Amino acid sequence: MFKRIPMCIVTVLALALGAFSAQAQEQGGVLKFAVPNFTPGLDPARTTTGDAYMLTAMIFSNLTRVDENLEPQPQLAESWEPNADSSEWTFHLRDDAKFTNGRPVVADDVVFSIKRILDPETASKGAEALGPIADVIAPDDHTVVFKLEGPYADLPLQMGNTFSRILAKENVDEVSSKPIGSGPFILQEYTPGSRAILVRNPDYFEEGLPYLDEVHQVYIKEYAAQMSALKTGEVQVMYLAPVEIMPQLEGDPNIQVMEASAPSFQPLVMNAEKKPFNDVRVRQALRYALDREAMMAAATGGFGSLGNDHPVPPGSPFFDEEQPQRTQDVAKAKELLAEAGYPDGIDITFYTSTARPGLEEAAVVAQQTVAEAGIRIEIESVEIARLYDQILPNIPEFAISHNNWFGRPTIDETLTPYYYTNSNWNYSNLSDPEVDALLDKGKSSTDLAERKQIYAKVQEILLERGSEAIPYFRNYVSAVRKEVQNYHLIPVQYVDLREVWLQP
Amino acid sequence: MLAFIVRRLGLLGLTLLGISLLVFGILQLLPGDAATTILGAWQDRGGQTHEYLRHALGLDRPWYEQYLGWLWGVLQGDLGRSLAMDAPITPILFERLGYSLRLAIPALLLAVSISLVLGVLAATRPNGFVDHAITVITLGGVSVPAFVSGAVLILIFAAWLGWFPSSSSLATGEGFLFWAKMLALPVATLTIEALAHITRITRSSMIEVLKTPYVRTARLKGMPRRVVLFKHALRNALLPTVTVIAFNIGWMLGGVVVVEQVFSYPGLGSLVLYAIEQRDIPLLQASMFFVAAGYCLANLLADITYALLDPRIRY
Repeated sequence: MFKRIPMCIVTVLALALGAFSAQAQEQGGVLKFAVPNFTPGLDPARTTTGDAYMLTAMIFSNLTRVDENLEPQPQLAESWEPNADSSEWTFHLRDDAKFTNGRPVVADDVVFSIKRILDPETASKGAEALGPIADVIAPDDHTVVFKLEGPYADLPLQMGNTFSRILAKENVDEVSSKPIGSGPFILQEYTPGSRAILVRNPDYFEEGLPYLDEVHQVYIKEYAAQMSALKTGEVQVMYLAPVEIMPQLEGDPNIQVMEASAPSFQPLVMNAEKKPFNDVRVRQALRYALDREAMMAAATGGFGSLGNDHPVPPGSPFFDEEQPQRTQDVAKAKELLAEAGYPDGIDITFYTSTARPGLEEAAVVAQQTVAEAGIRIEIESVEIARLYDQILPNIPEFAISHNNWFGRPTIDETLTPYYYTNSNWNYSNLSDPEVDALLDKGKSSTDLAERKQIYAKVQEILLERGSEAIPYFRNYVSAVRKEVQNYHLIPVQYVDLREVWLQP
Repeated sequence: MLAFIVRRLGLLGLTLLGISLLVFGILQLLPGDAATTILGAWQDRGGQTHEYLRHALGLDRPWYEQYLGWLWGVLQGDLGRSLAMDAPITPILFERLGYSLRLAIPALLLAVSISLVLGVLAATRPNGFVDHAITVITLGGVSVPAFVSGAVLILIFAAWLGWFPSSSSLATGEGFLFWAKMLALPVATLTIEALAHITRITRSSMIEVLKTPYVRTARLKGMPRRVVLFKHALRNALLPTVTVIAFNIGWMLGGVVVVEQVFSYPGLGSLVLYAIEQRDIPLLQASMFFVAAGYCLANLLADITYALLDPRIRY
């Protein structure tokens, strides 16, 4: 009998250990990411592309972090609460976060970083992307209070965006090339146009994280070269995988194609202030004439979902599921055009660009399919700089333009900048007082049910008389090797590598 | 000779000045400026963001002030700050120059040595089988675009055989062996492109020289073929070849953007491309300086080599 007890113990121990080792993350390893763009500059006030966001997310910390359900999670802030009407938010900071130059992260750093973004002299796009902040104060070293201009439910989520990274004041002059942050990784080598190498931050405040020893972000321009590197294992993640190479990747047992329903969309922008699109019937006609499925297939290769002429994606909690999907109705389009005074149809120029995947393909399909309704499109493909600089801000008469948006974490940001009268991204010049009123109300309300109702109504109005045609949403697709564990796609294309580990 | 060199260096200075003015002028004509590329597709209706940024970058000053201010800085040795990268230009530029030189020098040495051999071979039996074979191979090399030849090399040597990294950005390490592995494919691609040019000029120049009376005399004198070829003929045949080689130096330093892009190699050409895309005036001026200086100095070297090769040439 005494002999059996040790055996039992051994068996139990073996089983327990076995269970542990099956799940235990391996510490160490080098993760290599291939990116198709490499925009230099690591100043959070200035970064605009996914590759730079990825780097700043690893180097810096925010008050909160956006998770894969687009909810805010604690990061530098352990907890937060609003006042009675959500016009004031108080964040409580953890006391063990440090910058890589040794000094602790305190509330003053938060105040400095946020105020810097809001300062017009910094000339950052983030000034509009943080919410209606009137003032930020630090009553003590570990508390930050945001005083807002009005009730705003989404402040915690905004504190997780790419602009709200917390900097060290002394680093401001060199932050673009030699950043000092409090994030899970430290920048070791930075060769713009080639690669960035980050190493694990041993003093990172989240115990045990990150698991990886090193992360390399590697610029490989040609997708064919990226794919070759992925197959040989020289890189483990292909950040943005274009649809053309999907068939080749899907057959490979070592590679996993991951897809996230993204709020990324490519609207056809009509100028609601100029002919012919100042007439809502003409706008409607174009929207009815489009063959959405064909455009989606051409632009996303099937990795997308249909759109209903507003930018709220199916994955959003505010998406109105009741809204019927608009389908192609050529007869109705013709009828509307005739009503508006164009019985013979219209001739329009469609400005697009090859610089972003999907734009040109969608334009060609649009051209072919709306021709039946009498809308004759001439496609003009221009350099992306010209599109953004000259065409979109002032779309000519009888023209539509193409655009390309990443998608935003909050519902308000998804709508207000594009459709509110005179707002920063309102290229279609939509000015609808009902929409404005609804957006104002939705932003300041904190009652979830009420917000859902408000935004459902906005979606309805946009479908009916909006100024953009949004036929589809593009999913965010990455290709990842099997050895990469615990890598999740976050819908707004943020990358979080703290808990990722490599199977050896 | 010395006076000649000094004069040429003076001319180099004038050329660089002219180029900087031209580059500056062209950038002013293109739509958009550094502020618009930084802020991207973002309008600031009723706001001042573009103005603030322009002011911070110094883009709201009149053009002559911008240009002269920059020039004054350069004369004092300060190349300025990159608008897009927000970092001092000098270290970036020298780093990129280092990379470009590491690519250009081996490629040049390889291309020149192979080309000279092929050119001489082809010239000794013009229109023979060897000559035709060499012509086909080298012309094939120059006709295939670099992104095709580069991609094919990556496919064969990196993807299938795994001997070399498929991209420069993937290679980490130090030391001679590391550099050799990293440079092998880009250098091969560049060499393939450069071969035809130098080979053809060597060939035709050699054919010309081999017909001359003095070469015939040397042969009739009974001198061994090798001596005739290399001591007498080649030296004279090299004169036009040296010009072509000099041109290739300049090109390999600043003009090989395609190869750099295919291999993600951070060289000078890619920097110029980036600066243009971002409308980054100081960065573009500085990198164009180096590229132009590279061309000019290479040509100066060519002229000096002339004098060394041909004692009759005096400056």
